Amino acid sequence: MILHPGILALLLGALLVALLMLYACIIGFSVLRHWDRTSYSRRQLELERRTYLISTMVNYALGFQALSLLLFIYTVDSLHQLFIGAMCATGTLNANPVGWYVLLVKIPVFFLAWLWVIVNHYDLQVEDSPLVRSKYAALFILLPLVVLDGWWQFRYFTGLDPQIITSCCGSLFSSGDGGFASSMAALPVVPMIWLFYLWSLLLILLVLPALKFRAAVLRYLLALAALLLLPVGLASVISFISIYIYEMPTHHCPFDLLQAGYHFIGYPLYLALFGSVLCGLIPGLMRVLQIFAPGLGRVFAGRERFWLLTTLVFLLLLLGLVSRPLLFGPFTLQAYL
Amino acid sequence: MIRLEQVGKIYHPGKPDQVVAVDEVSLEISRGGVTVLKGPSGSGKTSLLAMIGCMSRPTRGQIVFDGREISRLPERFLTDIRRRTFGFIFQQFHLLADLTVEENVLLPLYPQAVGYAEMKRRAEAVLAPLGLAAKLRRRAGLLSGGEQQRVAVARALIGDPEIIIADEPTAHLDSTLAAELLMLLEGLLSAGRTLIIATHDPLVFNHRMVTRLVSLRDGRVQEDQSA
Amino acid sequence: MMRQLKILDFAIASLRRRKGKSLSIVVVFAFTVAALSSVLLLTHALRREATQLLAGAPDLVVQRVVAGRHDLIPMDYQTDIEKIPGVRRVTPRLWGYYYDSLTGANFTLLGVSGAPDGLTMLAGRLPAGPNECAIGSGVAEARAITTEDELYLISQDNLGVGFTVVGVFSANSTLLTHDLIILEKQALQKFFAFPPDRTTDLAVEVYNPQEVDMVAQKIKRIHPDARPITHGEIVRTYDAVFNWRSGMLLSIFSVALVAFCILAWDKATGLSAEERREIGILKALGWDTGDVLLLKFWEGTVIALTAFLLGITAALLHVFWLGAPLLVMVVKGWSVLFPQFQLVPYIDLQQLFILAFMTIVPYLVSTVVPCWRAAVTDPDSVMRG
Repeated sequence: MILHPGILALLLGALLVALLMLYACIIGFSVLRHWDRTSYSRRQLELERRTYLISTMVNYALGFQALSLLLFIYTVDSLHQLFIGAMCATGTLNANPVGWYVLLVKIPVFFLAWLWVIVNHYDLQVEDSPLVRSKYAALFILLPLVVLDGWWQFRYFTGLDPQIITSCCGSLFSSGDGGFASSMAALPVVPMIWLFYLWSLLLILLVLPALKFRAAVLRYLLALAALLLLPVGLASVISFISIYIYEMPTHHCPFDLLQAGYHFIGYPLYLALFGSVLCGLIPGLMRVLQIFAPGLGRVFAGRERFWLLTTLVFLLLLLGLVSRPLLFGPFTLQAYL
Repeated sequence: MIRLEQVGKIYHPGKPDQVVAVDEVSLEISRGGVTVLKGPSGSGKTSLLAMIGCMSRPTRGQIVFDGREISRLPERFLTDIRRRTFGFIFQQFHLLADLTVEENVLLPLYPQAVGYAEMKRRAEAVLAPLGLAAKLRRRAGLLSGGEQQRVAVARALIGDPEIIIADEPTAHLDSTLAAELLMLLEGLLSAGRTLIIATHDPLVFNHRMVTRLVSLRDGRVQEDQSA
Repeated sequence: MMRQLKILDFAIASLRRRKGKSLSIVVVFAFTVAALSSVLLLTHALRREATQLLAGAPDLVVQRVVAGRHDLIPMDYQTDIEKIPGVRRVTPRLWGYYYDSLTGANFTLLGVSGAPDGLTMLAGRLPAGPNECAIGSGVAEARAITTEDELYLISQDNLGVGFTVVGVFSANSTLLTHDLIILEKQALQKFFAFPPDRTTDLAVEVYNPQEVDMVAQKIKRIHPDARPITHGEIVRTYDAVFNWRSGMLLSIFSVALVAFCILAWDKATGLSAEERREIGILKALGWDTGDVLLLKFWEGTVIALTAFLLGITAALLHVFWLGAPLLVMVVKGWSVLFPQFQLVPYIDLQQLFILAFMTIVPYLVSTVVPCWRAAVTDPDSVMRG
């Protein structure tokens, strides 16, 4: 294995996160089994105290997961020099295909963990914490994903052999050969632009009335649209956003955006995308949960506006960042369309 | 205002060292006036006081506060009620010796959404009438007994509570300081506050300000007299 | 937000009140961070130096391998390689190693002829005749000689040969020239008894660096006994070695990190009676478990950040000002003539991030449970006495 410090840090982090989540689940199990809101017993008091511990542990685990997502991209990018043909993170990820699985599991874990923390936060503000059982049951879904993330990271890094010749984003993300990445790059640019903008517009058109009207259906639609924004957004990054930022019609890599050479534009871009998705999901999710826990509605009602407005802010930021190179950049695609 | 229904408190239930501190006490405390819980050591006064003041939960029975059942509320809700409603004066004052007078008095406000300017204003507002305005920056450990007692009272008042709870407030004071403290407490009544005091000191339960005397023994109410 | 700031304020005051305990953790933590960061800073700085130096290396170096060992390469390979499309120039290089029994050091002897190759870091001049030499500062120090002195070496034929020193390389070129002795080409050939039709290796320049691998393949096809080494391969190998070394050291120092975490857990668990009383009072005064947990979190974070900053500063001083005396042994290897070079201070965000992740995260994790245990103190504990 390559003993790169970033790799050591990532594996250590993955181990710690898995341990935290495992411990949280073990305690959560006793909460699931014995929780009784009406009980006066010492055990119930002890269980209530343990809910603080579980919340703290999951909050920490989430924080570390978010940081490790960043660190993973950083590390994978800095390793690219060790692989012939690799120009950026994509090349390193291709050196061992498990690398893509790591990303594929990190992103849902990131979202699920954030949703858990937010739902937990509101549930704790309701007197009888109606979602206690569901929350701790949900931890048992998060745990295997976190363990899988750690395991795949371990397999990925131990399986990296610097002698391997790997294809880089140039040949991977070109429209030429087959494979998922190149098919995304091959998505026709103009229809993709239309899809991205129309989808963003749809989201805005769902957020604005949701600010005024309390209809649940608006929130459900918003949540659905936000969820689908993730694949649309990522496909758009590969298909056309990247080429406008790089000013190169053949450069589709989604990771080079994070490098200094492009002024780290990838960070606010991905933040805006992920932020829009996450914040857009919250109002709809909370409405669904309110069906089972009416008390949640009273607590959340005052905060829903905040989430809707934040969704709007992230969306506008995303649109701004994407549109700037399209409208004002020196690069045009006329000759290549 | 506060209604206790068949309230009981058992420490270490089911174990060899089980202690029944409070045994099926029913009590109703209205706004205004001074209620004294009187009884010898071990009679359950402190445990009862802790439950009334939302510091601990009963092992059985119910506590209803302004129509709301609070005995099984999660800790954060109890704490919220306690912050808004009660001010505590402890037996040993429990000041933090290394903190200044001002810092001690402001301790209850740190976790609350009150700004620094407002905190400073409130500290000065409670300390000035008690003659401690000049000692804001003095370390609490360097104060005299009487001064410490006044700081403890100020701290109890910082959140502008409607109910003051005092647990054996004169236990470690000489008769002069005790009389001074009782005068201070009497002064609090004028603002429409309610006082609940647990004590076995005759100086307290014989004081003129007492409007109700509840005698406890072995965790039960022996006598309940209104003055 | 206001609540966070106020509790942070209280946390800092609280740490100041327990100076002894806080300081002991900070010192140990800072030391651990300093050890880990010194490793990362040193290897990273060395890697940068190496990368910068290697930027001047030829696109391709062609050696000859016989029975798995490096052998001299025939000069006519030069003509064959020059014919390959894409090759700009092929320069034969004549050099070798010399073990100096007097000092126990290994020198590198290089032969030059004609105009000097842009060597500007020279006090004096390059050798113009067969009895002259230019030497690096390491050689000068080892043999205690300078310009106009004589340098005596034992040739391949076991004869003592004297060379007059006409130039000494300056200290700031030391990474390249420390153990270097430059002779006139023919003098070197005679000294090592090289056959006239052979050379040590060939330096190849190509027009398009992207084509280097293709050219290397072609060279291998024409001459199967040739070993072309690309610039990229050299860079990757150095990178891998530095990664390996720093990773090894980090793994070793991670033992220190584990020991520190155990200490941190122990300190956090062992609350003094005074601390317990204090938490009991806070709980009685209206702080709930969440507030106390937040207080403990901020205490931990302040300690961690303070220790981190102190540790990084100590590491920077240790590596860039003092030259990493404690770590340089590992990097040096067997080298006797290790150059005394000044590393360029450099620290990048990724390094800081990795260091913070490796040190602060385990610390916070090891204190979670003890902090929680402290935070769940019963509010009525102060009343019960």
